[in-house]
Amino acid sequence: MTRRGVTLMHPRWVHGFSIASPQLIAELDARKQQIGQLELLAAAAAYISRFAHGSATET
Amino acid sequence: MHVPEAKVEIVRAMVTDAIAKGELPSGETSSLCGKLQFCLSWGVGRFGRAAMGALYRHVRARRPHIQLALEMSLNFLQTALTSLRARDICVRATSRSAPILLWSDATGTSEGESTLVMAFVARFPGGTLPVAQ
Repeated sequence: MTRRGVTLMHPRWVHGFSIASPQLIAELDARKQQIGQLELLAAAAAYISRFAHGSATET
Repeated sequence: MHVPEAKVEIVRAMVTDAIAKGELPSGETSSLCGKLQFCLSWGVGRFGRAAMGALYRHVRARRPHIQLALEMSLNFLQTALTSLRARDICVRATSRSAPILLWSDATGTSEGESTLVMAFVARFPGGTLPVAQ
């Protein structure tokens, strides 16, 4: 008889970083807010970077 | 997860000052709204958000004098800010698929920081494999 079971896989960690260029900073409006423009960009970068395709560091 | 006490103390001082003066200029109200959103909504799961309605209306009214509704809201928020608790984040799956966790931050935009760097860490959940036995 064949019975189907499961094998747990370890979680996968991916991390990446980037130094923001002066050109990029020049494009951002200077605003005084609790969460800065660069912090918002960092959050967006995680979704739009190429880490999903393996170019960021995976551990 | 929690908002650092020093940040909460700044917001609490702004609320206390506004109540004492009986006035809150529009610009300061906008700033206070942002700080309260950070301390209440993000840090403790939108707690106290309903009490911020009077603050939003005060921004639009453009009159510095604090009305009764706003004073009551400020009194509530002042009390709420003294009772914030650290929030536990559970990473166990509560539905069919486990959550993907994402942390991100940037540095270099504050005083004393030089290099502008942004970074992120993502944790993809462990999956399951069907196996024949």
